[in-house]
Amino acid sequence: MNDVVASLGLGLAVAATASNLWYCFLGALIGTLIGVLPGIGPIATMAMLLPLTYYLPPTAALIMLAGIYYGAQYGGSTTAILMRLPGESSSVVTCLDGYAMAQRGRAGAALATAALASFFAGTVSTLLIAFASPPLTAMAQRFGPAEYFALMTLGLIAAVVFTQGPPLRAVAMIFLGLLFGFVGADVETGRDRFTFGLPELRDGIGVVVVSMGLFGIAEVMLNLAGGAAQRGERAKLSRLWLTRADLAAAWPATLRGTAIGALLGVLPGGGAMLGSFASYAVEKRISATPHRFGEGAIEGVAGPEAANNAGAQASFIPMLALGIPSNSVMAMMVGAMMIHGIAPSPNLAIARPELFWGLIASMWIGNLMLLVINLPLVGVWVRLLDVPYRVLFPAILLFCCIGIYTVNSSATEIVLVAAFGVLGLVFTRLDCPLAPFVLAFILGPLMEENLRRAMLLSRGDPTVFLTRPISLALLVCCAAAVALLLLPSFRRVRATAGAG
Amino acid sequence: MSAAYPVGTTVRMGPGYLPRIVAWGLVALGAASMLRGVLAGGWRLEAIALRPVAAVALAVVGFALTVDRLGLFIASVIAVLVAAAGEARPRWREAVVTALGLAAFCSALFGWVLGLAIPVWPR
Repeated sequence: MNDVVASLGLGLAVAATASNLWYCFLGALIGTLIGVLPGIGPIATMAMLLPLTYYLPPTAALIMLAGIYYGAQYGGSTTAILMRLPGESSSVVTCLDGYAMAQRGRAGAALATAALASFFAGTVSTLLIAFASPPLTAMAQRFGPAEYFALMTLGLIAAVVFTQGPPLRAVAMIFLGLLFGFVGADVETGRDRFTFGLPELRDGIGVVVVSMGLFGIAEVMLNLAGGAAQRGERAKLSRLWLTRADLAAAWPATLRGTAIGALLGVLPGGGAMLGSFASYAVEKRISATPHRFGEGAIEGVAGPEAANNAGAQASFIPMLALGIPSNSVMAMMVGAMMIHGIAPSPNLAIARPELFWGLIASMWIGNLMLLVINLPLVGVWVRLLDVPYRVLFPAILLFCCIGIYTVNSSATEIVLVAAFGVLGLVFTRLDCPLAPFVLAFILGPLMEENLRRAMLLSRGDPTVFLTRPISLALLVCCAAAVALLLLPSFRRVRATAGAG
Repeated sequence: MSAAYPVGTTVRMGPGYLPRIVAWGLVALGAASMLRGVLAGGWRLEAIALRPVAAVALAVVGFALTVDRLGLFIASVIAVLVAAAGEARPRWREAVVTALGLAAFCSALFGWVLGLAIPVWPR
């Protein structure tokens, strides 16, 4: 307890230096910007900026990238409320009641609710990260290869269970992702696999290349092909103050949303989106007056907004405490660490306390900044939407190309990005979820390495996974997750969450 | 429906057996999906506009092919112009202005201000 407080103090001291404050602000600002703009998400932005972080100290780089992620959660809700245009996928639910509130002349109240709920959730989940990480880290110290393998298996299974769409396709996407992850020189023998003789593929395909193609380029293609999303008429801004009745309704919803979001965010494959859908479903179900939902219920804004922010931040826990990226955003963070020669591992908190705690503390500071960036400046952000997409999309493409090129000065990688762009488009059109693919792609090489090492240590005895207690417990969780998928009632909930 | 991609053809013996297991798993899943699809009475895909897809892909590839030799400025202009061809009704005059503006901006930002290892002019 005292340790955590002392460590947080250290973190605050690190995060509050002038330069780190500046990068925190910059990240939050950029995050808000791209959150407001549809057609560009935090993953593509982080991928574009990743090369630039070469020139920053590692702590500043991670602080800025994290700021982009949670900043985007704030920005996305602004446009969702004012124009029924979800800037990010995680604010889709906010459109329902947020826009309805705005149409009734309560735009200001909806915006204030969203911002305050997000801030509250951000504060709580920052504390959660601070308190949950040390015990997890301590546990991870005892992890051998068998445990790591079991943990990652759980991550992949959770990704199937908790993403929307048909489970069969999600499993297929995981296998495909694993296969792509195997590309490159074999870890132990150094022999090339699936490289088709291309020397550029020997180091494997970069995470940045894959995510920028699948999420960045594919999105541009989809937007151009499908026409822009239907945007509602822009609602007028009104006073930002909340009434006492608003507060009374929003407060419990915020609490529940935070809990749901944090819980789902910690799970591998989780993140911001899942929590917001789940929270909306819960609020609607327990409400005494469910018919108000969709017509401007303030709980329908507060709950999901708290949940998406809590989820966004809680998904840092597996990455920071165990060194395992649980979604593609965290994979970006790991990429940024590796650029600076920091291997993600459970030792991070001990080896680099200033980075670990500085990042955690910066999240809270960043949330505070976002409150200031968002509420008074909301008018400025909305004006941004006047930038036509035909000017915006070439800029996005160009930044992607340049970003990739600066990583390795490799033109081949830019071509690969284009290829993954087309692939992403095909997958999306076939209703195949992208998240399991990316997760498997990231975890694949790690899993293989740990599996082989576990087999080596046990002399090829597969029962090692069942005889080691932690490993066994994790595998039991896997089985439970699969069983969950087979339960009819859970399937229904999953389907309704997918339908939104 | 995952049978749409060439499952199985990428199977190649590598060191270790994991890739092979995974590839066969994929074959099985592909077959299962196909079977379900056939049992469900086939499936249809909405047609997708090919023009923007091709234009965006070509723009990125074009940038890749030109940046090494012609430099960032020219590669950017080419990429933006090719991408603009993907719009339903391209406005060429506007596209040229956008291209030049973006190229100048990126050259200045990445080439000079940030000093990244990226050639700006032909060499």
